[in-house]
Amino acid sequence: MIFGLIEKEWRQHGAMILFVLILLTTGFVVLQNMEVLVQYGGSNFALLDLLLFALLPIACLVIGNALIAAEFRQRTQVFLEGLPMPRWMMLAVKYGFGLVFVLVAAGTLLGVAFRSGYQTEAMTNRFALLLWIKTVGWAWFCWSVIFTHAFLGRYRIAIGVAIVALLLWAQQEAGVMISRFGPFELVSDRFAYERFEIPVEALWMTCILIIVITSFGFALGLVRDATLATMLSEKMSAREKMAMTALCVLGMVLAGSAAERKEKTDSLQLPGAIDVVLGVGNVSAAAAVTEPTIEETEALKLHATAAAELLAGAAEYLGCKRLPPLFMVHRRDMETQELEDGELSSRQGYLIRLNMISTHPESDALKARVLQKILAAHQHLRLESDTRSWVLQGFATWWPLRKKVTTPQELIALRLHSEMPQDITVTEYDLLHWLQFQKRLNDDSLAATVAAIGILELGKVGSEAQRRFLGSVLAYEAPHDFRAMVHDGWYNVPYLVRASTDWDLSLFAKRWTQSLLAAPESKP
Amino acid sequence: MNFTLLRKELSELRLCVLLVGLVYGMDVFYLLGTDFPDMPTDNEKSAADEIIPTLFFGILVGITVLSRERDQQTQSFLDALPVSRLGVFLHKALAALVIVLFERSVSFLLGLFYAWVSLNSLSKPIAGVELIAQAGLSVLLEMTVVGAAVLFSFSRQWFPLIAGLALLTIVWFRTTSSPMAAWLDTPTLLSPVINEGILILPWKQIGGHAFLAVVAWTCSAIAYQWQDGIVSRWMDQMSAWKFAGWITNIGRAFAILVWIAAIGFMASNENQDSKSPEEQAAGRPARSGSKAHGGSSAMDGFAKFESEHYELIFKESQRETVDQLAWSIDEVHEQARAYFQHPPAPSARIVVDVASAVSSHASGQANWTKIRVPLALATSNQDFLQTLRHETAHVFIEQLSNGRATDHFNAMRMFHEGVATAVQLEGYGDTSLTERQRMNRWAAGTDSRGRVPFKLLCDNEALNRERDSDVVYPLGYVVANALLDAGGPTLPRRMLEALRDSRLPPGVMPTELWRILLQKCGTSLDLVIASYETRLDLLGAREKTFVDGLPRLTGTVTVDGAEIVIRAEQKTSPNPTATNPAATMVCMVSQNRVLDTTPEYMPMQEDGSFRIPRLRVSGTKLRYLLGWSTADSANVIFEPWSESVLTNAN
Repeated sequence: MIFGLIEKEWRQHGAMILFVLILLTTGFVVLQNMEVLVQYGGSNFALLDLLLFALLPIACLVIGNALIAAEFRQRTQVFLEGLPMPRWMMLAVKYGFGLVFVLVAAGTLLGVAFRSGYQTEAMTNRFALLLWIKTVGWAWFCWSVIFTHAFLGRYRIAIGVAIVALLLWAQQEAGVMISRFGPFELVSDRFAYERFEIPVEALWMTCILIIVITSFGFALGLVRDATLATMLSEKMSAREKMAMTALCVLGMVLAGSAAERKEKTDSLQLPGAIDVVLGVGNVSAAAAVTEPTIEETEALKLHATAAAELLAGAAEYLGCKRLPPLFMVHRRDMETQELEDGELSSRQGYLIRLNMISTHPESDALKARVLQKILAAHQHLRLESDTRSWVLQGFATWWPLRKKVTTPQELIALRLHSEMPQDITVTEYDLLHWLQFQKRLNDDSLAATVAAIGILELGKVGSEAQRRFLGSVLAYEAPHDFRAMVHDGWYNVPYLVRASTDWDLSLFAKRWTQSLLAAPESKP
Repeated sequence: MNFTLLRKELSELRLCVLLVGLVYGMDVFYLLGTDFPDMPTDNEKSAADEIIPTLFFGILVGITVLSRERDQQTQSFLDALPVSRLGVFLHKALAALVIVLFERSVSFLLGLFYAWVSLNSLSKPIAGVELIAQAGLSVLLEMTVVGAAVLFSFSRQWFPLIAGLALLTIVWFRTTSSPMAAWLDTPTLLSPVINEGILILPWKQIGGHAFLAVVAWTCSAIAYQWQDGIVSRWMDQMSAWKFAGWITNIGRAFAILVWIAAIGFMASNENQDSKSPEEQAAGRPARSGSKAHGGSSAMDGFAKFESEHYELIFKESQRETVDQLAWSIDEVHEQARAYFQHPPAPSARIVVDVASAVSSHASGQANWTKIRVPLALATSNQDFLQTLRHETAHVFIEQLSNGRATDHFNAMRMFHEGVATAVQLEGYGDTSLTERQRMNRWAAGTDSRGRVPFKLLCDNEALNRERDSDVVYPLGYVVANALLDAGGPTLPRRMLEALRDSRLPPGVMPTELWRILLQKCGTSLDLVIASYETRLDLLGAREKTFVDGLPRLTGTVTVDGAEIVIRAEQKTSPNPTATNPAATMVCMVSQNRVLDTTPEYMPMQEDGSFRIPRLRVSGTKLRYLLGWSTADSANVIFEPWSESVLTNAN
């Protein structure tokens, strides 16, 4: 009976199987004639690897579709079920028939590769055995997956696409090394070159997967007298197709979104760093030298402490519950007051490079830079926008100097703007287009001083109103999605100015301009 | 026009409309859930990005236009209407156009919306005319695709095969030197340029695609109308054949083969890659004094030589050279191993194929434990051994990292090439000293064209957009030495072992990867950056005379009839008499091949210009590199990439 079944499958699908075999071999020849691929891989077995990875599963898909899916879709399995043999045996014959074909196909390709690469591949028995084991393992795995997949009927395309998309996403986005896992390791990029090491772990994993997946396939084919497989093989309605597509796309989007929101960084640890934690201020200072001197170690401590105090004080004033960590790196080769940003994402914090020996820890420029960048990182750089950057710059400039200055004149004197233009005016438009205003001044330091004068002007309403306004703009802990955009639109700066001071933006700009125009006249 | 019929045809395509809404809706949802659309982004969307959605929706609409009628067997109802078959077809085409316009409008409006919300006061104004022109051209492209898909949909289950064959034909046509090939350059079609306020449309490509669209739609109309659908009846008869089922299955499998062949064909190129090592050596302008040795004939047999660590595969005609080299190759292996602090040697011998070709612009290639170093490309035995040392270092890097250095190729290419270059120059004797100096000069010269920040250097894709991709050799060499400064001679090996053993965060950025690895090795990225910059400063000071002899270059590009002419101009040198008389100008031009972006050397003309046939450059922009070639430097010292708009006016 079994031979009868095999004969039936052969008569039904034999021609197609032979044709697929010819196609696979032709495909190999086509690949062998692609000079770029040949030169890139440098081995016939690299091409075989490509073929096994890309084309063999497709060949399995064609055979699986013909042997199983079509049988159930056209309900011709009913005739087979009438035969005096158990149903599992019928499935086993199909499984065995397909497996033999797949192994013959893979073996043929391997033979062709051996034949064409016999002289140029430095063949050894061990290398040949390795290639054979890997090829058989992968081919068997492919057929087991496709065999089970064929029972999924109308959902097989959607599920197939979803699995492939999931594997691609896991490999490329989620950091899971799919290419180093079980069956995929067998046909990884070293398939053609590894001549010694037997991938024992990968082979075991492949065997386990083959057993599990094949069992699942048989279960699908046998459960409830095979009615499940028959039911699944019915045609999908248009609405079902749309729903499936929507579900697939939605699933991919949600998975991608979840991955995007996951922290993509490790916490940063500078070797030999001096860490100071003060309130929410978390500072780590290290020297970019192999053996820091005593003087340098002392400077690290001073800088870390000063920065932590600065951050803790500012956070308490603004009402920040959290601040990103600050990393300070000492560089001997940098000039005094030369400050350089490190390459950190806003999620990691802010890294600044400077010469800590020649730059004083209490330097106003340093403090302003640190404060500005930490607060910007706190909101994923959203504070560097047209409408909010004057608040950020102004606060960062004013805060370190707040005890030393109470008037714009004092501020200008301290900031050493001896050549400050006397005709600077600030309009409502400028407050909504600060980046352009800053570019027009052509001097970032001057723009920061002007912004700080604005903060001083706010203080004239009252220190509490000033604090409330600054806190409402700068203390917001922005999530990395559209909610931050909605927040900033809702709590826009004109609204916050009005809510804190009862001034509208134009009145505030006018008062600010008056302060500016008055300031240079009385400069020291 | 029959509006009832049009409405009916539109309702037939409502699934496409739903899918458009779904795809773009998800896109918006994803963006809002993970990012800030109102912040300016560095990622400029290129015209080529529009091709994939255009193709996807074009094919979807195209196969739906006629197939639903056929699947639901409602064609006979349409035939009963007092409207000719041509009339029905025209309404179907009009409905397809409406859907295409809808899809393109959604794409255009979303793009416009994102551009608008991310504007700040420093942003350039939105190039409305350019965007509208691009949207209009994408409608033309999509209608071409829809027309082709409608035509191919007559083949029913053979659609994938026929479509694949059509793609293969177009790809093949593009690789021919036919002047007509430029007419079907789709990326150029979608790249209208505004130059000095004037919109430059790619008329040639518009003509080519419009012609295709007209042909496809006309043929479809004829096939639909001809003898009241005789084509469909033929297909019905074919589908009823005894072997139709398995022929269909085979057709699908064959279609996949055709698509793979088409994609592979895109990867092939017509120049050096299809040449033997000897031909490659003859056509390569790279190193001065280059002379192939150990040549072979095509009829040679192969032979093998086994040493303790290598297994050499060579042609019989190369035996004499191989005999000279054989005694010293194990020493090369030991030198490479010593650099990595004597790790266990690979379990099996490293296979060295000295007879096969390698990719253009490469002297050797390594894949896991197989190396290809064509003898024909080596200028001397010493040169061969240096290349072998370089490639052996790649093998060690891969072994020590268990292949993960290749998994993170973008971030690790500079490490790969820099460390391999350091190993390559680890040899003994005066020759190697001179080579080291030449490498240092290459680094100093490259640095004099603008410092490559470490962040850019360890992001290969970003680097290739700004600088010659080979700068990873000299600058990577500087970094390799900086690693020794930061963590001693064991650091490269410890980094690789850390890479092998670490579970890195998903989607880790290149700088972050370096930071994590160095952190795991007990040192810091900042230490390496500090050393890298200090070393470059020192090199710049030491090689000042050499660098001053190579003035900075700028180019002017003109279109002179059928040729593009690039003229290099020297910026004023601080000391004109110091210009290196032995240095010659070199120009490389970016190629627009689909999967091959390797730049191509341009020969210098007698008048000192570089000329390239206009037809070879299909786009409206030309990217090129200008540089100096001199024997004192290990390779050409290039300026950063320049880009010029190609118009007959300039």
